[in-house]
Parts: sequence; structure tokens; C-alpha cells
Amino acid sequence: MSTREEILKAIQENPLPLKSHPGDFKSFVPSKDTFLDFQASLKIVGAQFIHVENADLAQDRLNALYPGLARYTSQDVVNSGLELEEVQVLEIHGEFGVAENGAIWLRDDHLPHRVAPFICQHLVIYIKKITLVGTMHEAYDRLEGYFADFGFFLSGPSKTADIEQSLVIGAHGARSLTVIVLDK
Amino acid sequence: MLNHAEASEQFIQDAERTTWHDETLWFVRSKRDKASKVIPEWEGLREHASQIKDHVLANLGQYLVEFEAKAKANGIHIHWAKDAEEHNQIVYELIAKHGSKALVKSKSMLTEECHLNSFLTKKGVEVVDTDLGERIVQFRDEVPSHIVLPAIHLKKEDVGETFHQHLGTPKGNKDPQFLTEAARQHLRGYFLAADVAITGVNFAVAETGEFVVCTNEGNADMGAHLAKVHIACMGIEKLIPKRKDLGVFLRLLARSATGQLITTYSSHFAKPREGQEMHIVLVDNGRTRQLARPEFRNSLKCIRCAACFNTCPVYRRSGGHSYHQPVAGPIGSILAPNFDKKSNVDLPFASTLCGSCTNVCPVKINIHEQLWFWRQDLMKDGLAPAGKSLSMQGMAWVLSHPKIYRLAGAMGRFVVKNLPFLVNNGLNPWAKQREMPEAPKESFQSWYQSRKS
Amino acid sequence: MRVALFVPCYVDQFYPQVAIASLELLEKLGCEVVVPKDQTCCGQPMANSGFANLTGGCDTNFSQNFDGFDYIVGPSGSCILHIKEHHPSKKIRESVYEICEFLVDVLQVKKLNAHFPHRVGLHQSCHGQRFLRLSSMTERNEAPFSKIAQLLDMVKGLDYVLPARADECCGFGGTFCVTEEAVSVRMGQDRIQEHVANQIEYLIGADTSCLMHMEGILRRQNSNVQIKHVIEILNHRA
Repeated sequence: MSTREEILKAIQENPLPLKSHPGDFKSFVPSKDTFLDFQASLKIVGAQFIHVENADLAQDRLNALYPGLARYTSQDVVNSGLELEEVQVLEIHGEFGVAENGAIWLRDDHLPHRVAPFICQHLVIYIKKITLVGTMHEAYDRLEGYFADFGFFLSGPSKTADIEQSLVIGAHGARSLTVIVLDK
Repeated sequence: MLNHAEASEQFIQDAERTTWHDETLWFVRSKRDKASKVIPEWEGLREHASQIKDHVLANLGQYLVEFEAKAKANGIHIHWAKDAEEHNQIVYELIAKHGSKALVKSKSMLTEECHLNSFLTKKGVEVVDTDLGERIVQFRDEVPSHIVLPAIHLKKEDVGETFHQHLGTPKGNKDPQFLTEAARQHLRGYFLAADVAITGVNFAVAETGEFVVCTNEGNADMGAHLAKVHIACMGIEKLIPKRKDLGVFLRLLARSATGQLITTYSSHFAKPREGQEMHIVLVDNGRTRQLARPEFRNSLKCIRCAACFNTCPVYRRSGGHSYHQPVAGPIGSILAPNFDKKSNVDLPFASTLCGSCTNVCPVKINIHEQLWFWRQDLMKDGLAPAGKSLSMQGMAWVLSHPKIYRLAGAMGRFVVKNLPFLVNNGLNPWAKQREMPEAPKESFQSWYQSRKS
Repeated sequence: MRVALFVPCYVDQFYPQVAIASLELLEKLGCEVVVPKDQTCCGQPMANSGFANLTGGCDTNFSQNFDGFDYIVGPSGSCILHIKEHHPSKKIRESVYEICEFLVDVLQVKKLNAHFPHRVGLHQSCHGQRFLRLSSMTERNEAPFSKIAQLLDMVKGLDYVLPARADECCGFGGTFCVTEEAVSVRMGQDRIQEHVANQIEYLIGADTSCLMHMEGILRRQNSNVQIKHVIEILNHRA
């Protein structure tokens, strides 16, 4: 008998009393203002927040935030993640944002490479205001029926508190995150 | 090997350090409290998560088969391991097949449980732990003392000294920012060079065949997205039925663990990168045995958040190493006897049964009750320390016979009052740091009987 | 109302004043109190040590003393909890009450003729709080409530305060207090330190086991702080 069969047999031999799935979680408190809540969450998770009508209007702010640093904006797919090793500031577009925790959903087919948002030194994400949802429940509703080979929620810059619970921003992923919320 | 009581006694000898350890972890508990109070539906979420996990355990075989089929259809290789040895062997063979000599590993308590690192090291494979806390303990040749904060038992000075030795940082530098930067630079090279990345799995979704890895540092992703081979190791209980269920768990996990709104990264791996090989190792290692135990199967609902550690007054004052096995704290104490009763007989007794753990657990594991049940189980198996069984029988006999009980009580009071040296000595653990209660002139019953007449 | 008084074994032997206060207060509140003579122990010390299989004798003795009562009341959260969860007789399990719970839920006491003009630290004992739900717990996201505080509010002149960590365990834990002596004492010392920081004269609670453990430490520290069971405060007149 293969291990697979052994394990499945062991499970089958001791059936548990039936317990049904409780279904969708419906009693969450919806956000009264996803934009304000998202902004507040971004602050908590250590991300910079910029609100402009369109992407062009953000450029001056970005120049001021990352003086002298090259910004990588290409959407072209790269074959090897190592090609992005030297990227200082990566600019990408996020799919939607979650107000309760400042998370942004990103998917690999809208990135130059899966490693891009991790390997860069600093990260800038554009997100449209209209895409904001309140909670993770609504986030997964939005993802219903949709499949990404690789997707992830990103909330804030990389961080760690492993050294005596002192919060340090900038671990292995991006050292900083700027989120630009666009009206259009 | 010291048992929990002996190890804790040593730990507590450094009173100041114990205070520091206790306060540091209580701080994490308070952050968790703040985060949970912001969500009015928090208790409802816990109940929902608990029911989802109950349902998974009741249908585990079916969900495993579904998960395997979906994952395979997406091009992921699935392996099954019945125990730690088989798991380690499978992982090693995948590495050897690629001729790889170095790999990066992000946090996986399952790999700790299987002692993967030492197995691979013996086979000549260099394992680099990339989670900062794990890397620190790896340098120090220690095991993690906490499943979420591996180096919580270490002070900045300790880390500074370790990094000075291993990374050449300036002696005496204990600035967390500086040290973290040093680790970033040091580990970046490994990420760029590794062809094999090992990660854990926080949640595996049966409906879609995808799995989710949560980190704050981004180390799991830095490894997985650059490596030719990604091996994800998971206990079979990590399944959840539907992707939507992630909404419940991702709202609970980070808040319960550290008080954060969510981990920085919640990565959903569904298909390997083009040209990459992705493997999942599904591990039993005693889980089906625990599943067959009616009183203890609920322990398999655990999502490894460590909220129970942070709230446990005993853990905070004894440290993870006092539990002498990979997963410490309250949850560790109900998982460990399933592996080895004899060497873990002390753990279910390392508790006052205060119940705090049960009430912070995001999936409502009845930890305090399972601690009580393990006590019965272990004593029934004859694992009581010498003399305990006899003294318990003696106590039971005295307490079932009212006249003897009254006599024993009177004798006890007499001794305490008139022969205090008999009790206030080194043989009486109570009296080491506490005064014995004063003996009243009569018992309540005696007073009551005189009042009646 | 006919009530049987359950007297925990260590209260009977070492803290009779707690049982006396319980008896007096219940009688003041109009109860006919019966004290079964041959009661001994609830069996918890054996059960929590892993020897629940040895509690048959205690259970039988408890039944023999308390069968037939609708209300069995005792001044100990942990003993009452043990009987509630483990006694073989359903009727007994449903008839046991911790005394504060009894005063609030059954007698529905709204007023007490009590006077205790002192500053006291209130220790919330775990089993009574978390499992008998005598008060809300900090772990949960729930509206605060406290049956004990409700009763203490009826005592004239009483000033009670909670420690900084409102409901952390004192470390007694039954045989834990000797099998894990170091941790037990450290927990007790930490609890006491927080109470003493509030400049209290008395340390009070609804479980004498916790108080006995903390009293042992206080006296070893030559402290002036004394312990009292909540019921003694509720029964106290000027």
C-alpha cells in the first residue's frame, strides 16, 4: 500500500461525527467609507499614501519621495527575476484594495515577474479608488471565479519585529511602499 | 533532558530576565487584544473559523483527495509522507535530483517537527533559514522558542553578539534596524543564488488546489520566485475547503498572532512559474493518530498563530525551551503527548488550567480541557512519577471517609500549629517561598456542631 | 429557600471564617441553611492531577450528603466548577452554585447591609471567572460585566481596584503549586506586586485557594496586606 493509501485509509477508519460547513460569513460590519478606512490602514501598516486624480499628477510627489532613484515602470515580462535585482523603485498597478487592512491584490500576469514587488528596494502601487472594498470577505467575493497562477495580498512595506519585538521596516521585501490612490 | 518544572526553575532563577520575557510576550497579547476589539464581529469570526475547521476534520480524506487533484491539474507535484523520516527523504531526493547543494527555507513549523535541517545537513546540504528569527537561532545552534517569534527569548545584545560572530557586524552593536539591514544584505545573496526554496503552508485550499504562505518579511517569496524548485511542506490538517474561507482566516490570523491587521504578504501559489517545478509534501506524522482520538482531535484545528503562547502565564515565565520539543506553549502541550507520551508526560501538567488560551484561540480549540484529558490519559497509562499514584490513592481514601478526613484535618492543623518545623523545611515545596496557612483553633464543622448544640 | 452549604475541604480546615460568613450571610438573606455534617471534598485535587478515576468515593460521599437539595451553595468557584462538570449525578450538577452567582442570579440580591471602609484589591479567580462566568474576561470581545463587582458595589465605604492585568492567573493551580513551585510562586509574586502597587489594605477574591497561595507569599514578604474572601466583605458590618 502506498503512503497515500495508508493515510487515506487511516482517516477513513475513524470517521468523525458529521459537521457541516457554516457557509459564507455574513455578519461583518461593512466599511462606512472605504477610502478613509483604507487611508487609515495604510498609515498603520507603514505605507505612504498619495491621493491624486490621475497618475500623471503623482509624478512630482514621487520625484520628491525618491530623489535621484531610477524608477522602473515597464510592464514587459522578464524571463528571469534576477534581471530585476538592481531595481530601485518599482511602479506597478494593483487590482483592488481592502480598506480594513490596507491590503492590495496583485497578480503575476500584471507584473514583469513574480519576484518584482519583492526584489525591488522601494515599491509604488497605483490603485483606483473605485476598486476599494471594505473587508477580506468582500475581497474574496471579488476574486470569486477568478484564477491567478500566482496572486497575493500586499499590505505595507516588508517588516520584522524578530529582534526583541522592535519593529523594523524593511526586511527582505521592499523597504518602503507608496500607495497612490487614483480617482480615475 | 530536564522536564518542564526543572527547566522553568532554572529559567526563573534570572528574575530580571524572566520579567523581561514575561512583559515582552504580554505586550504581544495586548496588541492582539487591541486588534480584536476593533472588530465587533470578532467572536462570531472565531466561531465561524472553528466550524469551518470542524467540518474539514470531519471530511479530511475527501478534501485531501480534492486538493491533490486540483493541485496536480495545475501542474504541482504532490507527495505523501507518513512520518518525519519519509518527509525528510522526499525533500532530500528532490534536492539531490537537481544537484543542488544550497537551499533557502522560510518558516515552517512542520520542518522543525520533522527535524529537516539536521537531516539535510548530515547529507551535506546547506540549509539557510531566511526568516530573521530562524536565522538567528540557526547561527546559535538553538531551536526556536516560539512558533511565530523564534528568537523572542533573546535580547538585542544576544542578537548583536551572534551577528558579530557570524556576520562581522561591529561588536556591541545591538540596534535592531542595523542588525536587520545586515541580515537583509547577508541573505539577499542566498536568495539570488538558491535553486531550491522550501516554504511552509499556512492554508491549502481544496476547491482550487492553491496554497497560501503568509510572511511579513517577504522571505518566502524571495526564495520561491527565484528558485527552480519550490517545495512546500504541510501537515495534512492545513486544508480549508473554499477560497472564500480565507477571508475568515486571514482576518483572524495576524490579529491573533501579533495584533497586526494582516501579514505584509499573503501569497497564493496556484501554478508554478514557467520552467519551475513546484512540489507539495503532505505530511501525516501522527496527525491521523490524533484525529482518531475523540478528546484531542480538535487540536488539529490549530493555525499556528501562537496567541495561546502569548497569553499563557506559565509559558511567559518559563520560555519555549522549557517545553523540550518543537512546538511549545499550550498547543504544544496537547500535541506533544500524541508523539511520545513518556517524554512529554510533564507538559499537560505545566498549566494551572486558567483557560486563557482557550479564549484567545482563533479557532476555539478547547486547550484547557484537552490538557485535563491528557492528564487522565497519561496517568492511566501508568506514567505517573514515583509515589504520585500511591499518594493520590491515599488522598482519595481519606477524602471518601468523613471520620478519617476530620481526623486527618485535625492532625494537619495540629502539626502546622505545634510542630511547624515538620512542614517548614526543604522537603515541603510549598514552604520554600511561602508561609503555611495559619491553623485556626477549630474547623468549620467543629464550630458549626457546637453552634447547633 | 432551603439551601445546603458546601464547605470546601481547605476552607473547613484552615479558613473556617469563610464558611461562617457564608452561613451567616445566607441566613441573613432569609435562607434556611443546612450544613451536611459528613461532607469532605469535591474530588478536584485528584481529578486535576489525572486521577479522576479515583474520585468515586468523593462523588458518592457528596451525593450522600447533598442529594435532594435544589440549591447547593459553596464559596469556591473552582470546587463548584468541578462538581458542575464532573459529578455523575445530573441533579447535583444542575443544583450547585458558587455563592456570588447564587446571590446575584437566584436570590437576586439588590441591597446589602454591609460596611467595609477599606481599599482592597480584587483578584478574579480563573475558574469562577472564565468558566462559571462570574465576570467578563479580557480575552474576549464582550461587554464588561461582573457579578462580584455588582455585589461589592453594595458594600458601604468599600474601595476596590483591579490590578493592571485584570485577570491573569495567580499561579495556585491545585497541585501545580507544588509540582511547578518556581513558576507558581513567580506568578503569585507578580500578581501581588500589581495589587500592592495600588496601595491596598486587603487582597480579596472569591476563591480561598488563590488567596491562600498569595497570602503565603505576602506573609513571607512580611507584608501588612491581609486576605479576605469576598463573602466575608459582603457579610461585614461596621
